Parts: sequence; C-alpha cells; structure tokens
Amino acid sequence: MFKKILIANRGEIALRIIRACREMGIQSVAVYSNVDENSLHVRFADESVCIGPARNDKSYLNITSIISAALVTGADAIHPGYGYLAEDPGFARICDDHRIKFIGPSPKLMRMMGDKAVARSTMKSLGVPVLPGSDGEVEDAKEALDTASEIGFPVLIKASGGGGGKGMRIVHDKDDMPRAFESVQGEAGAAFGNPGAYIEKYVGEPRHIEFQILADEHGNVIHLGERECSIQRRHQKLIEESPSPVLTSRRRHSLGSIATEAASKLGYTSAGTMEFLMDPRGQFYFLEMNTRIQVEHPVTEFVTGIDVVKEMIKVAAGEKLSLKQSEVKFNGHSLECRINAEHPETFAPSPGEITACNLPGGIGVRVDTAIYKDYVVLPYYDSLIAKVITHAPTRKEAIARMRRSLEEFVIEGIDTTISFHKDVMKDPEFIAGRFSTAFVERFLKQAKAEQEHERNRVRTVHSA
Amino acid sequence: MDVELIRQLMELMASCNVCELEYEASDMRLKLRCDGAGPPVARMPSKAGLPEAQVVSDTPTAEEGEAPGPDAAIVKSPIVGTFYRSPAPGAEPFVSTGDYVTVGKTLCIVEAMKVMNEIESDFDGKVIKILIEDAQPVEYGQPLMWIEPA
Repeated sequence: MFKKILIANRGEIALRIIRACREMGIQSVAVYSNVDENSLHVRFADESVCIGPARNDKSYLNITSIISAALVTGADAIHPGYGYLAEDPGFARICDDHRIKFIGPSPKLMRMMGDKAVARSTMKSLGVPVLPGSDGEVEDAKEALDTASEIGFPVLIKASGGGGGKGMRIVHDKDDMPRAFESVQGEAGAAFGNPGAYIEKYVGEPRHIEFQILADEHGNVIHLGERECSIQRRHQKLIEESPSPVLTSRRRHSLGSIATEAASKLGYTSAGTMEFLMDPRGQFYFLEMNTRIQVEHPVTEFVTGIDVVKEMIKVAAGEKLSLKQSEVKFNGHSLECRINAEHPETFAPSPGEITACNLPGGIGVRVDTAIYKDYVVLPYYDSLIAKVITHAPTRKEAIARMRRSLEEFVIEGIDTTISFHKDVMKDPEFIAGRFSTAFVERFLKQAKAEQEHERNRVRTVHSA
Repeated sequence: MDVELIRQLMELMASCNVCELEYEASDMRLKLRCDGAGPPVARMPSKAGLPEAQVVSDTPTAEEGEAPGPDAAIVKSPIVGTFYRSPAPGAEPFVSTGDYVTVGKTLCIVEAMKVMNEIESDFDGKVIKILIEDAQPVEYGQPLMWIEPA
C-alpha cells in the first residue's frame, strides 16, 4: 500500500481524499495556491506545499510544481480528484516516468476515452449501443451533410476533444450544416487543440443516466449501479440521484453488464463512469466515459455502502477489489444537491466571505464541503461550495430529508443556490420523477413567469 | 526535531519584525512567539499531551550576515523544488553572505523535476542573509535570501 499520497486538487474533493487517506493510515500531502493558504485541505493534510499563485495554470494545473512537490515530500502516489489534471494522459505519463503512481486508469485509456470520436467507435465495436451517426470523425462539411441526411435531421455536431457538453451544436436543417460544421471545427481547434468532429443523431428531451464502474489490475470489474443526472443547467449537473426513478432492476442488470463487459474488454482499471443517454422511448445509448472520480460519487456510496475513493486507492496499489458483483447490494435511495456560490435565479457567481454558516446534519445526511464561517469563496475557482447528500429507504423520504436539510443549511454573506434546490424539491414533476435534461430550463422559465404574475397581481391590487 | 529549522525560522521572524509564527509539518507543530524585546521563544506542544517543551534560543542574529535594513529585498522561490547553493556538489556556492551581486547574477538553483532552474537577482546589492540550507526543499513563494540594494 502507498505510504504517502499527494492530492493534486483543492476544495471539497481534496478533503474527501484526505479523509480516505487518514482512515487508511496513509500520509497525505496537500498542494495549494498562495490564496488557498487557509483552506481546509491544507489544514487537514499531514503536509502541505504551496505550488504557485492563484491562477490555475500557475498552480493546480502546474505539472512541474506538482510533480516537484511529490518528489520533495516523498509521495509515492498522486490522486488527481476531478477536473484539473484528472483526465490529462500527459500528466499520468509524467507521474509514471517519475515512479509516482497516478491514481486512475492508464494514460493510454485516458487518451482513448478523452477523444470522444474514438471512444464512440471503440464502444460501438465492443457491442455498446451508440446513437446513429458517423463512423469516427467526418472530414468536411460535405461528409457531415451526407451522414446527416442518412440518419435524418436534427443532428448534433460534436468536437472529438469536447465532452461534458462543450463543443457541440444542434443542426435542424441541411442548409445550416456547412456553417455549423465549420464553426464547431474552428471552436474545437481553438479550445481543445483538435479540430476533429463527428456527427450523432440528436435526441430531444433525453435523460442522462450513468453507471459507476470499478476495476482492478487483476481483471475484476464491477458496477455500482446507476446515477440519474438529468437535472442539469447548460450541461452542468445540479442534482443527482441513485437509483434512477425510471430504471427497473432488470434493466439495471443488463446495462450494468454491458458497461462492465466493455470495461473488461478495454482492460480498464480504477474508477470510471459510463454515461448514457436515454431517449423518450427508453432506448439507451453510450455518450462518453469519464476516467476519474465524479462529483456525484457520494450517492453511489450511500446506496451501496462502498467507499469509491478507498477502492480507487486500493486498486491503484495493485490490490484486488474488495467485493464481487454478486456482493454489491443496493439499499434505499440517495439524492445529491450541488450548492454553488451563485445567485439562485441568474446563476451569477457570488464570491466573498461567508459570514455565517450552519451545516445540516442528522440521520441519513452527508455534507461534503470545505467551507466554514469566515471562509472566503475565491473568484478564481469553481463555484461548487458544498454537496448535500441524503439517504433514506425510499425516494419520497430522501426528498423529504433533502428538503429538511436545505432548510437547516444557512450560508450568509454570499448568494448560494440553496433556495433553487428547495424549490426543485417541492416541484410536483420532480417529485413524480417525470423529467429530462430539459427540466431546469422549463423550471426556471416557469418560476420567472410566476414571479411576473405575482408582481402584476400586486400592482393590480394596489391600483384598485 | 530540526533545531536548524527553528533557528532559521527565528531569524526570519526577527528579520521581518514578526512577533508570532505558527509552523506545521507532518510530524510537528511549532509556535514561535517573540516576548517583548527578547528573542523569539519556541513552544512545541508534544503529541502525548505532556508538558510543553520550551526552547529558548540565542539572539537570532546569525553568525553570517547582518540584520536587514528597511530597504532590504527578499528573494523568493518562484517554484517548488530543492534549493542548491552551488552548481554542483562540492563546487563553490553561487553567492555567499557579504557578496555584492548585480541584476541577472545567478544566486542559487531550485531543482524541479530534474531541471536546474537558476534563480537570478532582480537587484544590484549585497547578499546579507541566506535563509535556506543547501539541498533543502522549498515551496512556491518561500523566502530564500535577503539582498540589501546598493
């Protein structure tokens, strides 16, 4: 087992990994930018190293500084968390070169899954259902048009280097194709350094459902069920839950088998997530694979009782998975609300000092956060400041528990999305489990209309 | 227990007119406090909750160098790595206290990922204090030496 792990991240996920290290008796090293000096990950790690100034490219993305910090502290492994260098195969390769274990899959698999066109064609060849579309990348606008005509409009043009909703465009009509294709290529070249793009059938109002995979270096692969992540705003997930309200246990079993078989054939190791899109008819299609720990992993931990971060560390150290698929049991229902330092209606970022802070607690509640009273939410970094996760025997009870937790959650001094989540937890369509990735847009439009209506009503009363 | 480290921290405190300093590493916590006009006092809370050990040092003026004046400039490490005073083991150090340096003069090396990064002086002046022992790790922004501008 590792003696010392450096955590190449900040905020709640760094703290989450430090907690796992501590429970496993492994020393931890926090790295931080000079404005993060008073962060909890620095406070609770066994050692800490300042790696640069506030700007991400000079600190948390600074490979030289991070590797150097691992070398001077004698860390034998690096956990990258999510975001930052988590899916950078070049970084994983450099870790290998310095005999530091990168806690994640091999650089080769990261590269393969990082190229969305390659990931799609690889999964297709392994028998995983994919949306109708091009075979790999399309060369030019003409080929894009031919493919689109074959599968029928509307289609999506997706950048190979994109993912997570970045670098894509919907095309409804063949006349719009040439311009749209060229603009995706141009943007992708500039943003991802790779102008390649491919075509996929566009599905309106889908659900986003993903499977958590765990694999060791001895050929064992298991899945920990699915997470429903359809509650998104501009492709950013806001609420996740497990199980999905629409998946039967038979369906879970068959999709889980498809995912684990594909991961097994790929020789995948570590934790990973296979994202699927479910169309309104209930058909599933592979979207992309994330080769890292995900923000929403706690809901899976609640329903399975498995510590995903610890398993990741164990398999990276060459150990076998601690359980077989038949031993994975799903218990009750879990929900997660991502609390962002953003205005609850406009979603404008709201950095600043937290002047009062009361975290929820009680039975079946977990809060993953790195905030505290007097903590300053910095403008340089992600606006996610806390994850509230609830667990209860049924979905209905998990929602009630979330509502109660959000009422207890007090953050003053900055805007947060707590009130947005409170409103969603009262929404009849959400409670009924009837939603798609279009939910948030509709929900916000409706909330705005109701406000307008209320204002007009008040005005009418006043003038009467 | 690294006595040398405590000595260096005390020197640093005295040179920057800092009255209180807390330092934390994997196996130790150290609190240094300057009591009035006297020298900084080290307080080391022991792990087993035993009575605190107290170390009282000599006046923190190092044998090498003089106290920095108000215009003295700090040279900080621009990267994480290992600090070296000389270009090769056993070789002459780039600079020693009392040396006069000019802008662009190599002061030391900070090695990161096997790359030797030469740290150059941004000032013309006299090296009055070197704060880090040879071959010690340094982090971003860590003070390395003092230069009194000419």
